[in-house]
Amino acid sequence: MTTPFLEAKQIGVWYRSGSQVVNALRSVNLTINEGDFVCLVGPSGCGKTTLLHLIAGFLQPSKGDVLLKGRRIGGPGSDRAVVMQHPTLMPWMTVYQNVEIGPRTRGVSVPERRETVEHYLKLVGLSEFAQRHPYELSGGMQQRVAVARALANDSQVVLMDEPFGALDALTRETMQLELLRIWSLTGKTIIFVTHDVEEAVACGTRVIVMTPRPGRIVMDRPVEFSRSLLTDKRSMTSLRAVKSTSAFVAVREELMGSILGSADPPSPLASGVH
Amino acid sequence: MSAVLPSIATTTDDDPGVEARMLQHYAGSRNWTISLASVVVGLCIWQAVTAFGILSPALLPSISQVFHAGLMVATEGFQGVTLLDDVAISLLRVGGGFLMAVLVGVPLGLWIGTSRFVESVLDPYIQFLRPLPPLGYYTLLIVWFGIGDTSKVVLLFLTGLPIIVVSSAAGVRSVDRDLLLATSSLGLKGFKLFRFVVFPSCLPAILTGMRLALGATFGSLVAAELIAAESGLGWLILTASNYVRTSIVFAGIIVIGVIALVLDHGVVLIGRKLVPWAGKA
Repeated sequence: MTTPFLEAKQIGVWYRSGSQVVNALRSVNLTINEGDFVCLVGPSGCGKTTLLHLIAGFLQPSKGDVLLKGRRIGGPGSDRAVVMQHPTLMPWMTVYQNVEIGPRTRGVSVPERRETVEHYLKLVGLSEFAQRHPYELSGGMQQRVAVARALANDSQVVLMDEPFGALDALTRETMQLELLRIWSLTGKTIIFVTHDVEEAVACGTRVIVMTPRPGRIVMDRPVEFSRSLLTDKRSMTSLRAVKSTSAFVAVREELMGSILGSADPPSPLASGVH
Repeated sequence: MSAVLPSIATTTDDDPGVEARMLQHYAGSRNWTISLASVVVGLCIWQAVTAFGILSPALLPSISQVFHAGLMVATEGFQGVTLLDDVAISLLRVGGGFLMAVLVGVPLGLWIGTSRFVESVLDPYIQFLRPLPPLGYYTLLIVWFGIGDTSKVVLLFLTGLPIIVVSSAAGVRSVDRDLLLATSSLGLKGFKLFRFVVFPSCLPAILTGMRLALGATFGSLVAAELIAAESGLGWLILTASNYVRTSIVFAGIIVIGVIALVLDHGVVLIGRKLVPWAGKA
């Protein structure tokens, strides 16, 4: 049996909040294949960001292990780049320097990292803005820089925590298409947290539904619309068209039902108290 | 204006000038022409009060008397010390004390900001020193270091130190947590994380601390020179007032004010050069 690419085994996370112990994740098992585009959806408090932070190494599980290629994740590392909800760029650096920081830190030679940076800036369509500073760009452009920065580090996994959550609807859909294009060109494994089910169904190859109190996985479903979006002309109209097909709506509603169904009936105190 | 709309709507939404005026008020710069006119009016009033002899020159000398007193101190000197010497000595004391405060305070503040242990150890001293009026312990410094320059430089160092420490430490604590997480996921850690992320993040706070500290040290210096000195701008004012040479006192105060303005503006300019992103991110 081969070692899975990314594996979460019997994950439990508890933390203390005042006098209460909150159970953020309970018995989470997850296996992710290389090249997957996995979307984690669920209402706030369902532990999707906690799970992402475990994979990033920002957090250690209270119970269980997260393994990347069979090795336990003990902390943040350059093999798992994170894109936050906000761009988190370094305002004192130019766009170019921001994207360069990963390879620069790893000691990649100047000509080699110039090639990398230029490649990824081109990929996100910001070549002309290389010498600008982040505060000269719009929010959507800044987020594209953050994506380029994560990709330029040649990490195996890109973890995205509601990266388009702060963008307006139009920019958001443009970014969804951009991300799909980049994903298909780079073949990276993407783990994408969102609370927008439609976004998850459109972009992912797999959608994982989580529910809160305690956070756990209630559904794990393959979806195939991202592939068809890529073979299409990848225009906004085709994205709109796909999103309004009955097949798409059916999957979206099935997932919505799973989120709503598991949230009912409400169990206010049966929650995290352990 | 439509009569159908409620009046609130007509005064806000329909008037494009409101937003522009608010921006002007909160984000716009002040009108320099008005400021300049205000200063000119102030000088005119001063001139009028002295010209009509409302107050005796011992209380309020005229502008020309102050100007000539300044010129006299600058060229011939007062009690054997020229104005330039006083300025140079005062600036050297400020420079020495301030520089020491920066050199010690910034690393100390950054260290306190990064380590809870160091913070717990040093915080009581910093918090005690910070609100303590520097002149309160100046006599003690004179006993320890003599009446000369050393005691003054130490005084200014102690005046500036807690201000710079506190703001540098606050700078570290206000570093964007998500930025730290995102950059650590790019492989930055230890010194590289500090050099590329933490330290630049702290720069605006450090510069604010330096600006406050410079103002405080300059204030302490003049006060210290008023208490015990044989030279310097504070000494000049005190000695002149002892001889009721009010015009020299005025000239000295104006020189002190101008120097303080120039120093403050200098730090602001350095700040703009070093942290052009401040307030824009």
